Amino acid sequence: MNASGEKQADVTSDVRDLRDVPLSLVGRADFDGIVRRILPGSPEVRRVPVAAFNSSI
Amino acid sequence: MSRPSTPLRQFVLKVHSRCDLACDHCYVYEHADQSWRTRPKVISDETVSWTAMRIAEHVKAHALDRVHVVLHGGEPLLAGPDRLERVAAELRGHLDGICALDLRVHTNGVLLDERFCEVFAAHGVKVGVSLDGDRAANDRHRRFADGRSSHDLVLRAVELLRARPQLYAGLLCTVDVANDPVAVYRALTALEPPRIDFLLPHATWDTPPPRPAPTAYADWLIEIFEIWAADGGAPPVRMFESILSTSRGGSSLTESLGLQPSDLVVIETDGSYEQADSLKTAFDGAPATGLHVLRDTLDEVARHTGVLARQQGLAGLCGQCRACPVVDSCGGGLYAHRHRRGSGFANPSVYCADLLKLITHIRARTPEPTHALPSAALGALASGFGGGDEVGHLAESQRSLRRALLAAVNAELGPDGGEGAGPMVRRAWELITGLDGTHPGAVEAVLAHPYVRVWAAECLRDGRHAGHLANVAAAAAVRAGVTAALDVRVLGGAVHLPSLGALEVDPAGAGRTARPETGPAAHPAGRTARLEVSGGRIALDGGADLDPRACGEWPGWHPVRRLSAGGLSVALEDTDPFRDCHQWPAAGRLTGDRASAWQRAFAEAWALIESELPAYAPGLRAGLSVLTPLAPAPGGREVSSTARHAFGAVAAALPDDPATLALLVVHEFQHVKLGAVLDILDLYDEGDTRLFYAPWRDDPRPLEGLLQGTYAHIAVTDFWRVRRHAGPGRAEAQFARWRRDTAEAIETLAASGALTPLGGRFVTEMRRSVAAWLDEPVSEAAEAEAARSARVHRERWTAAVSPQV
Repeated sequence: MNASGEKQADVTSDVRDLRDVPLSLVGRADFDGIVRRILPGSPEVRRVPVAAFNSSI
Repeated sequence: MSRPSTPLRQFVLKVHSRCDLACDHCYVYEHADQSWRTRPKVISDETVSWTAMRIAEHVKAHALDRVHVVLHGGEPLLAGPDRLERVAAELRGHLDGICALDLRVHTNGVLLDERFCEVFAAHGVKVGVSLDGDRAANDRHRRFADGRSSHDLVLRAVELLRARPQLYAGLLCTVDVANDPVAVYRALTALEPPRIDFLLPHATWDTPPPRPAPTAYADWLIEIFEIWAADGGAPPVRMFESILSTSRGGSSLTESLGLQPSDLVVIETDGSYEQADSLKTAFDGAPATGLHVLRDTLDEVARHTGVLARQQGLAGLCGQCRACPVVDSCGGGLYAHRHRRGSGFANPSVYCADLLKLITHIRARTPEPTHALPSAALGALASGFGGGDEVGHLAESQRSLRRALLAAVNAELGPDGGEGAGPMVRRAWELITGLDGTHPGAVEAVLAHPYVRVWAAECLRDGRHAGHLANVAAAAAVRAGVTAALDVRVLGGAVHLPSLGALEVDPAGAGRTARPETGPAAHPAGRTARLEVSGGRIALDGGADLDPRACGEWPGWHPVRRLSAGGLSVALEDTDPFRDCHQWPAAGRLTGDRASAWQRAFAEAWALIESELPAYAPGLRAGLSVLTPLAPAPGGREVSSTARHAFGAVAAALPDDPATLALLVVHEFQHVKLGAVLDILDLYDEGDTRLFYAPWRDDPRPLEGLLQGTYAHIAVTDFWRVRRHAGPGRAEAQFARWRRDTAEAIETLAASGALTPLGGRFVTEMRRSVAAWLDEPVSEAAEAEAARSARVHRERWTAAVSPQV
């Protein structure tokens, strides 16, 4: 697990800040970690569908 | 005959072998190879024809979608405008229609005039000009044989190109460390070049470059890099961009850096094939192949041992290079610069120390920042709220995720583009990366559309719909107001432009389903159409143009409509083919009447949120960008949904009561916020696969589901807490029920043992919000009913699913 640490008043993430990196220069080293994080390939990692709000309320 | 491993894509065509300047640093005339003395001065029409034919033959054999041809010399303009026109026409005649031809000329500029410019404009030839900097720097080497300066003539040439920006390719500057780097760089940037190339002077270990200090070249370039970086990386400098790109695992933009195989060949004025021009500096005859355009194919050139030697990547380097920490960026430097008598090319570059220092410096100066949330912002979000600033932080981190996904899509598609859509995807990538530099706001506006990320995620999962990248690029081009023409993907009989709308190609087939042509039976390559974009208007396949951002109506155009209330405007998204990613099916295109009903309901719902739930309004203003209509659920149930990849979107079937729409929106937006937090922070152990009881579900839930549901029910509880004052009775009962259930779920989370320390803090803040509400008075009847319903649900759930948990 890539748990995040706290530095001073910020909670830091391991997600690379690519906002100012020209799109043409965003390379594999930049996107691999992000893609692994938000598109987990491991079958054990289940991203659950949420919401499914219904009229029970 | 076997195919070469790497087809050739770059062709340097020597159209004239002499020069009108006598630069004393020129590798063609002043270095080891003296083959120019025996070449014809001017290339013949026959050699040009054979060259064009050979390239076309190679393009077809390897299904290349793009090649680059540089008209070179000597000084190519000495060939005269008429001959250059014939050369360009011959190349275009053979290559246009079978591949994209990037045609350029590299000149010293001395002879450039309007006549040349007209020829280049007519045949799509871009012009690069050699200029070594300010007058003092340029005149150090770039002089006529009688010693006269060339500087004024070169500046005049550049001014001609600045007046015709479509021809202006950039400036090439050969480094001389005796020059002032700042003066050189400022002189070059003052000419507004689209790109600058800094070239290290050709040298070898036997004839090393002038070196007043051990790393004089690195020091010189670092001074410029610091200015360039402070200026925001503009104009593009190929050397710096290549180091940055290769440091991130990307490609180099020049053969002098990186590990990519060389795909370049030179055709001399006599039709001889030669290897890289720079080899002229190594030894007499070094570039020769013994092959000739009249006799030999380019496949035979590609199999030449000298060409193959420059395609070996890491394996082709000496041991010292292979062990070097910056080898990914350096690649051993330019092949010619490695030469030493005795060991040939099995050496580091003669610029090894400079490259190591420069690359190390650039890597150290460009740390890899990561996203962060202020601790107070995380606390506010964890409490169930979060205003504009807090949600704004989440929205900013989403920008990085989208850029990463888009780059990943491009990388995963590879040269073929996936689905056989190579040229289409490549053109789209060129367009969108170009716009990212010139019109970043336009690109961001399209990428921020929630369903662009949904498409990118789906594309990375299954490789389908790669061609939609062209639609994304086209939408950005519209927003940028630029002129572009590209093939775009047709889905369901329409061209979908994310964030803008859909244009029917086949009026009979569009809009009948929410997600046409995305099923397994869809043709894998998909259907395409030619879209022309100019000044914010679009035209399809040469048809009438329309303005997709104006209010006018055009046949077949279905704009994304907007809902507005209280200064908030969100898209009513019923066109995007990737919106059908929710648990409930998306509605098809709404009629005007239904869209009006949405507007009325949204206005009332937003007024309720602002007046009764004001703590949620700033966050919604900062993050809610799209409402997606869902198909009505059976039995009139109210349904709504969010999708993890669709940050900013809330989907719902339009409920009868605007108050219910307000509830659906604040509930679903809780999922949007928490999903964005989870995108960047770890709140729980994803490896924990246990299932838990959720008081509002009949099925056991994994930890993320319980966390999401609990977080959303903070807002649900708050909604009824507020509403009970307006209408006690049902609202009070709902408040009593949801505060009890939410509080119970919070304790389940806290006791799960699956939370990270940060997740523990997050849940503590959630508890703090709900605990305060537990003390608020409600009637005994409501409290009793809440306790009873909780007990009944728990007992029923335990009986039904306890063996699973």
